[in-house]
Amino acid sequence: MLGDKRPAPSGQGTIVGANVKLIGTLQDANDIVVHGRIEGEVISSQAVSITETAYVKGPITGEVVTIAGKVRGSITATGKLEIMPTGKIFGSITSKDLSIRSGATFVGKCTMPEGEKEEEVELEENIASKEGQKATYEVE
Amino acid sequence: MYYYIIEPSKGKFSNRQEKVRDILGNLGIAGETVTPNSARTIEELTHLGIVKGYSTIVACGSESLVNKVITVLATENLTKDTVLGVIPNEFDTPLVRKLGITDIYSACNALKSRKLENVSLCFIEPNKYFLTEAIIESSHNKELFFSIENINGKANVHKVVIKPGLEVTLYDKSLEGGILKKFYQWLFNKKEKDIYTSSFQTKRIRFESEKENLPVKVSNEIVAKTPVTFSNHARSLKIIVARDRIRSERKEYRRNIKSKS
Repeated sequence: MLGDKRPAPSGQGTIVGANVKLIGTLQDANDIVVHGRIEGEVISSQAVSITETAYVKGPITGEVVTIAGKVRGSITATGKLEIMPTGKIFGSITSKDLSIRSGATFVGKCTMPEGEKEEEVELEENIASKEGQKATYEVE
Repeated sequence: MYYYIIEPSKGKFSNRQEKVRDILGNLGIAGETVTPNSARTIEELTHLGIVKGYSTIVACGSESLVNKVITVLATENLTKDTVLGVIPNEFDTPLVRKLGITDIYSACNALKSRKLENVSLCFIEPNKYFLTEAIIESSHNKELFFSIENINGKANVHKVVIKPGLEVTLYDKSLEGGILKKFYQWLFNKKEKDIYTSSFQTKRIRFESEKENLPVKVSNEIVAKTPVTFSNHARSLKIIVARDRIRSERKEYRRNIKSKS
């Protein structure tokens, strides 16, 4: 439900038409499809789709986020983030599953929480193995 | 117990009153029957029914009559527990499908079995309720401003449909295009993807138009003009629905699936 602080996942979701301009926080527990222009936050606990004709100036949060239009703001996808060939993102993105198609524009910082965890584990293992080698050398 | 407000018979519904009375008598649920006229309006008759303490007020006629009865019930029935029953004129409307009735007999049988359901009403400030749908329409695209809690919006639309539960749909004429576009689509059998229609659900919405005040129609009757505020009154009216409503809902669902495929 649009504008609902505590949304419940019922109903058909929100569609913003190409000739519609919104200012404010667009929040829905269901899918959000944007063809128009939004200045503000877009939040959904399900899918968010920014189509070719859309322009969003503000942060986007969703489970599966698909960008085919222009976005100026950060994007957080708890599931998958897909940037289509026509997609243009100027802002940071956070996702554990990222797909950037050829032709897409992305200017910003990318964070992958799962990847960072893996890297930390690898680093720790490397340090541990190096310390082990050193210890062996000292014994010799 | 039952208080029937029967709309005066016109045209194809001329023998309706008698038919309804016969069926109600046969089912043993006949009650006081009143007909609105120039001396007593629908609103006054509904008020009278509440004052007399009837537990069930039945609107027998068009959707316009149903919405007028609902308005009085919703505003005056705050402490009492009066229930609404409906015997509609036509049986292919969204309201009738919602009630699960299929013909005049099933509508009367539903009244007898008295299966109650709490329904949400849409409220047009300051004093109108409706159960069907409200339409704001213009012949061509107009700039319309709307505000919802923490959102302000501007849209180019020619039609706005507001359904119970405050499901709002904004229609844009850009999709239709000109004659050339229509001819091209017909020639190549191509349909443009609809990116112009907006739809969402909310609890309260206000519409404003800049240059002229657009009419708000409910059941083809102008009930308000922009600027106008709609709000959703959840589960605010008890209404009698058909006993086998779930079955008819399933039928409807199957029919939708078939027509889509």
